[in-house]
Amino acid sequence: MKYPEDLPSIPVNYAEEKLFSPEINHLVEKRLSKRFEKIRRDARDFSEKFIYPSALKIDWIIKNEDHDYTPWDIVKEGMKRGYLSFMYPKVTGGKGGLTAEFAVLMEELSAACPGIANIFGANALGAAAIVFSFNPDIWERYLVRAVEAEKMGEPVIFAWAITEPSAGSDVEYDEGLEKGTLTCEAKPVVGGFRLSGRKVFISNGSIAKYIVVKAATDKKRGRETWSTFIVSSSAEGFRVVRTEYKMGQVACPAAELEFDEVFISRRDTIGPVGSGRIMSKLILAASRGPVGAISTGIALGAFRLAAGYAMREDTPYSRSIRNPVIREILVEMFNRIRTARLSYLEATSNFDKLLLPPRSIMDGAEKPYRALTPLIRRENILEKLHRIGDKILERYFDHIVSSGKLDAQYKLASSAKVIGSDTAVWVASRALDIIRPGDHPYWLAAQKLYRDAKLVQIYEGTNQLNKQSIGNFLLTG
Amino acid sequence: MEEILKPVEKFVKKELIENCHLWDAEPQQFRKDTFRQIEKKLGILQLPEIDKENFISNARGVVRLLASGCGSIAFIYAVNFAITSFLKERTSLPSGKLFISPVIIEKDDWLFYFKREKKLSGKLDGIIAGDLGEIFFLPVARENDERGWLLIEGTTSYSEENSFLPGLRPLTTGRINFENFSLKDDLLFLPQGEWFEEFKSWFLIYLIPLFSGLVENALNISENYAKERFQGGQPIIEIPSVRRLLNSIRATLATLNHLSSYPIKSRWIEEIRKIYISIIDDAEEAILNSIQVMGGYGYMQDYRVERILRDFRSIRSIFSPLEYITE
Ligand SMILES: Cc1cc2nc3c(=O)[nH]c(=O)nc-3n(C[C@H](O)[C@H](O)[C@H](O)COP(=O)(O)OP(=O)(O)OC[C@H]3O[C@@H](n4cnc5c(N)ncnc54)[C@H](O)[C@@H]3O)c2cc1C
Repeated sequence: MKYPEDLPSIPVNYAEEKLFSPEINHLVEKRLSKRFEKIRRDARDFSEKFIYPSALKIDWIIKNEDHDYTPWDIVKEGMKRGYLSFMYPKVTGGKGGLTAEFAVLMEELSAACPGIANIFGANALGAAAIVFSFNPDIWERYLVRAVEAEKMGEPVIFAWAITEPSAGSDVEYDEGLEKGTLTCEAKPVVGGFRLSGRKVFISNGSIAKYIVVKAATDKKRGRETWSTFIVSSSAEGFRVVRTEYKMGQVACPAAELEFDEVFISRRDTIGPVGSGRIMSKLILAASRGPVGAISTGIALGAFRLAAGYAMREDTPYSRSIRNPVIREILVEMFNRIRTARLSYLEATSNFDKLLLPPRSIMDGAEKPYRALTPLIRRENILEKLHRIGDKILERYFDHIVSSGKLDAQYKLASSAKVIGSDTAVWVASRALDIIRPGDHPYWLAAQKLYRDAKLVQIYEGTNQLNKQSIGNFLLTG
Repeated sequence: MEEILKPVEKFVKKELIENCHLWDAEPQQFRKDTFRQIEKKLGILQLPEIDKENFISNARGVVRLLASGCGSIAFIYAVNFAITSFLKERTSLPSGKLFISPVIIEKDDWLFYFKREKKLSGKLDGIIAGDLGEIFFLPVARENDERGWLLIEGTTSYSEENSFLPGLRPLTTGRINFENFSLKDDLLFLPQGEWFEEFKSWFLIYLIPLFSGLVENALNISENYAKERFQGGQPIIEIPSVRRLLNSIRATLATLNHLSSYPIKSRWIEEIRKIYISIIDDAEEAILNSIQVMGGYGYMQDYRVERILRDFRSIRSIFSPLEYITE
């Protein structure tokens, strides 16, 4: 135990390129594949400049010195590249990125440091319900303002709060909502709701400006009244109780949050009361793919470290690429990474195709929307638009449920999450077998990735729950 | 055996489990005399004298028990027992002393050993628990470039280095400096040779019970948790997925327990390596599964199971199965 001044930069060796040309070219149409490559290059440039040099120091500082340290400088650099507003629609000033594109970004950033990547990942997760509200009122008040603040150099972070102390898996699926013990409740009051209760393990929870909170309006009837709310961290009655001491991904804080009679105006609810279940499923159908990508990135990072180490001249034979056994293990590692990558690309591209409005429509809407902005921004108009937005959302939900699209996508995303996260742990473990302890900086970076890896089997629904929610379809007639 | 293990068991339950958690969070609370106090209380280093015949099985039992409370303490003793088991066939050993050697074996830095002048020079880095060691077994090169390992008694200057292990937190890692170190006596010099394979294998004899203890601890924690934690209106221990996880941990534990008393008979040096390679993934999976049983809580330090994974993974990395793949 000493201090981190001499903690080295993480070495990077894009060794996978010696094995395969970026195979995503063969999977998607040329234009998209070009965009993927552009995103990957940008993410590599960002990681090389900002993440690799400091990830080990940040991990150390948070674990040993300053538990609540946040790498704001890196967040701001990412913000400048549009990593916070990546998924916000173009009409709001965001990048209008697709889920698959965001997933590629997450993979590459996670190869450098999944904790730092997850600040951007959890932000996207938090903003997702707002994006999918398809509600100009909400878009204007949150996304547009967030983008405007970003232009002034102020990052605005979102978080997604669903997990409760007594209900983790239970809030992730319908039956659980019915049978589980919910403690949060948003009681209807004049003009809105009053939210009380606690949420736990909320990524970005202590640094977010806005938290999208799922809660029942009647906790005895969780399933029917599950709803989606937006809470500002400056709201009266809101408090960060603590941030957790966790094994890995420490750069992204996981916080326990308390809501004590926090008032939420009707306009800060997303969709009608009771639509929270479908909204959660939609978000998970979107986000489990990118969690597969984070996982793939962790595995890729571990592979790069192991391969880079094995390629050094002074690496002992038993762990060197001169040894055929090591080459074989490295190929086994990369084969799994390819499988995980193909799974998340399939899941995220499918989401973009099935559940997002076509990009041409979104892009086409940009100009007329901009032209109408001064009108839209009038309070009374916004209020009307909010109600229209709710109606559109209801229709959209009906459509994706009755057409079976949501279920189909949910299964794919859950499967990609499980495949990816199992890969992350397996590959990170192999890397630690190859790299000799104490052979820095490879060793330090690899043991960190191993600690980081375990989390992906747990969050966004444990792998067991994900498998159950796919397997249950075998029971349907 | 009972009389030897009983006090250890009591100590583990009463003191070690609690303290180990503290030392992980605040490693500075673990001092050199902390180890000495434990040793004074339990007298584990005297085991070779207490019951010569059953020394190995007693030692394995002790390591297993200690590991069920604290991987770090078990690790120090496992290393000590491995070195002494190997050496006691070759020379008479001073009793009650802690033996340490560079456990990242096949490390290629060698100390210089000037036999006539009875001097050592050079330094060794990355020595785990080097500050606690009293007798060292070290790689040395003689003037005539003859290489071998030397057993010496004596303390040297030790400087702590940056810790690099994710686990075994209270143990320090350091550099032992032998610059102009005068030897009173060398206890033994073994020229490099076939014996090294045997030496390496002795570690595995003690690591398997160590893993068994770690898995038992992980199982206990997650099983107790599963009885208390409710999801879907029932204790999660009733959920088939959770039962499946717990059963697979139990199966691995049973295997590890069985292998912990693997008899040292002919061909054991090869066999123990095969055993090690074949169970190591299962042992890791069992600990990962214990975390998984506890969901998000398993990932948090307060719940004490993630430490077991960090300890396990530190040890597995030091004794990477790649080093034990035999031709
Ligand atoms: C670091 C971290 C960050 C997180 N970030 C967020 C966040 O940003 N927002 C958020 O809302 N949540 C977040 N979570 C919470 C995460 O999604 C939950 O931890 C996860 O859903 C599991 O819930 P739990 O921890 O309560 O475990 P439990 O639900 O108590 O699960 C315990 C065990 O029971 C099993 N189990 C329970 N029910 C079932 C079932 N029906 N079928 C099969 N097995 C079952 C589980 O698989 C597990 O093995 C985060 C968690 C962590 C650790």
